[in-house]
Amino acid sequence: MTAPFASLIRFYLRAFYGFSDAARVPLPPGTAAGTKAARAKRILATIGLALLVILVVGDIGFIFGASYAAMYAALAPAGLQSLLLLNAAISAALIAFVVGFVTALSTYCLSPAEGSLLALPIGPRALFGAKFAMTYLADAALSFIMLAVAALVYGLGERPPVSFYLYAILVALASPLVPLALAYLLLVPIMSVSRFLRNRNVVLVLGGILGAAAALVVNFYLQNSLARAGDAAWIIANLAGPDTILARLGAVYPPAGLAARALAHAAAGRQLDALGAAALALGMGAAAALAVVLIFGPAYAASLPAFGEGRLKRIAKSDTAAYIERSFRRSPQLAALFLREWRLMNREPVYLINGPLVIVLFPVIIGITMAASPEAFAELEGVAHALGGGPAKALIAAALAAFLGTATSIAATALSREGRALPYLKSLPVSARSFFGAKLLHALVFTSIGTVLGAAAGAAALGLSVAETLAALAMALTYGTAFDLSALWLDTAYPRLVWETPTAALKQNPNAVIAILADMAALGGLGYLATRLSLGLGGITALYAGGAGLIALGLALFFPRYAEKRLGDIEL
Amino acid sequence: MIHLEALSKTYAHSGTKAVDGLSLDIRDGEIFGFLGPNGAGKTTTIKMLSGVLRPDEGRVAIDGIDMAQKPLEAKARFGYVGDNPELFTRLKAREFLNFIADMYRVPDDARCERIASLAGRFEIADALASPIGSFSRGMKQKLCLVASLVHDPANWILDEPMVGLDPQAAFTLKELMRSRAASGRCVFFSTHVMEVAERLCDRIAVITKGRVVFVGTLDELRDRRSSGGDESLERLFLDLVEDASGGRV
Ligand SMILES: Nc1ncnc2c1ncn2[C@@H]1O[C@H](COP(=O)(O)OP(=O)(O)O)[C@@H](O)[C@H]1O
Ligand SMILES: [Mg+2]
Repeated sequence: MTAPFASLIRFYLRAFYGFSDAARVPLPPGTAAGTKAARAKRILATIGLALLVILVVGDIGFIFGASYAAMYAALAPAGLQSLLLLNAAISAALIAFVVGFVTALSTYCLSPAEGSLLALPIGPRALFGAKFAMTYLADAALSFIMLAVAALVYGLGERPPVSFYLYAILVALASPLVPLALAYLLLVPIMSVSRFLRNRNVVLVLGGILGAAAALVVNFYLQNSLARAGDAAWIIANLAGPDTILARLGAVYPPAGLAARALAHAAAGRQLDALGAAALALGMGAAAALAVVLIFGPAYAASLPAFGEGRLKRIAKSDTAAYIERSFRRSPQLAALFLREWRLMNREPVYLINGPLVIVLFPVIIGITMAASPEAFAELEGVAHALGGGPAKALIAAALAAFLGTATSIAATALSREGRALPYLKSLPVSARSFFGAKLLHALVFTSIGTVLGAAAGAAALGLSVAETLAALAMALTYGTAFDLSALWLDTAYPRLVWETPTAALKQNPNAVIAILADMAALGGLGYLATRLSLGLGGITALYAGGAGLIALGLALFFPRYAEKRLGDIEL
Repeated sequence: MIHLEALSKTYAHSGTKAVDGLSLDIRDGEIFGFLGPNGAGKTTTIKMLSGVLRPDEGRVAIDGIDMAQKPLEAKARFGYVGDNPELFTRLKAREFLNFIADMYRVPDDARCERIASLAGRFEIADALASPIGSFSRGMKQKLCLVASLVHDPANWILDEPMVGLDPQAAFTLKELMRSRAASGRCVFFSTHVMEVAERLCDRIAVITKGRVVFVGTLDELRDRRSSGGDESLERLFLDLVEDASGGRV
């Protein structure tokens, strides 16, 4: 397509993921060692990010792989294994629709500046097309992995010709097109008629809640397919037969049926049939996408300018003096710094949903999962029993509390969130100690809330005694403090300051991802260690709370000096 | 009073030497214009003198207080308006001003009085209850100007302050600069427009490629006119910049 269109897509993707152009600035020859170090740092960061992506993709792939392998094993003896492909095609389409709808909603207008793109010589259809492409590129991964994994499982069992895999890639790439077109087909008219929704805050909050709901659906689906993976009779009863959900969905949603048929034909070596079905599936996807883009482009563009960042309300001229007189009051520096952190976090919907609200959303997700599969709950109690009467229950509650207390990403993105306002902040007469102290305090407040909630929930669910609850609380709080300090240190060392949308500063900030993965690894490791140590409740509490407390103390002692030096080094 | 001594800065990130051995002394009671084309190193210099960037070499002192040794005391002695007015759009203007006043530890009475007067002069008093995100660029700039004076500093440092201001606000700003200089305070601002400097400044410095190529009064600049012609100051400014870059383009 045309060059402006391609660069528009690049622009959107960069805004969405918060890529900076810095990595592309060609370095002048013979630059100083400092620059080489900077380049090495960038390369390391890229490798780290790649590893992270591989880890996450591998993880999801593994879950899908396990459940599809079980499904294949159940279906193959009856000769029904091609149902696996239909199941994968339908699941992939469903997931693409759910996730795509949420992404389309929350990226409908990425920034208030987007309305001004309309001033450029870009047609509304090109603009909408680029947005569609962005959503596709951002969201196709999950359904691609699903179909690819299913095809791989099928291929390993059936040993089809190589062309099967080519068809698999083609079909996997095409599968999110129709669902995404459907998502926009719903969204653009809604946005066009509703003035209420065309407010960035409302859209982002709604997107966040729908996102959580989508996560629930996906989670529920995965739980279910994993739980049923070993149950061959259930699989056959629910997948095979003319009146199953699968058969009905396949009938009303032809692209999935076509995709599955293309793959089955390809596996059986019926090249011509395969080609026909694949071409039809691809054509349907492309036609749906193109039709939505062409028909709704103008409506989409027309709905953009209404996205603003709040309305200006004027105070009556006669009231300004009184307003000023009662509005301006002095508070201590640290309190003012803390309040600023608090307001900036809680008023930015992306921050609120992925930060503080996690403490609420996460238990809801766990609660629903537990309610959906009581076996998991019983399993938890079983584990506690198997570990013996000792500190196992308290440890489980402590882990739950610690995780809830450290899941907000507040500390891990504390400096990144300042973005381009950092130079201004550095000009103020504020010590690094106060500046970062307020950030730490902010993180610790939510760590404490999460920890107390988690410990209370754990205590209620597992029937802990007062002593056990207090022990869990002590371990989780000290751990959370040490975690917050480490995460703050990480974000101070490698802040992501150049970004265009708040999503890039928090949700897509590598520091947030690294922190949460390290968190899980550390909690897992500590849990494992506890099983090997076989200490009593007092012993393990003294060891863990004492150890974490010491680490926190050490970090708190050395961090201020590091932070001051680091803040001075940042060139923005 | 601002003292800059042999300041140099190379950005580690890009390897650009943005400022190269720059020395200046800005006295109390004067309006000092810092002139240079885009990319000359004005913002980099201003960031070093306001403690935002650490110089590779050289020294900054505000009212005799060394920035490297006593940063908090030095920073308390100036008001700073940066080149980016897009700050904290989620805060209300009132909250932002209160925050800044708290950073400078301004007492209640003084802050109310100054904000009433400054916000009134810049005509944003009626918008103080609104989120900054709802402001136009010019209003954001005016808000930053108000914030920079809330502690009535002895030194006022501004990076391209006229950008985005309407004529009325630009006029108010110039008036304020003049009255502050007249009361013995120091005003230091950067601009790439000679015309602005010409009307306003007691002394100017011209910077290009990170080096100062002229410091002095406007009369001293006029005296450099070749062969007593009547070239405009704009032309002289451009000549200075071109000479330093190695000949006319
Ligand atoms: N954060 C930065 N990182 C790397 N190089 C920069 C940065 N900021 C400015 N520069 C470079 O330093 C030089 C001087 O820039 P600047 O001080 O912003 O100039 P001015 O304000 O006079 O327009 C320019 O070449 C610019 O590209
Ligand atoms: Mg500049």
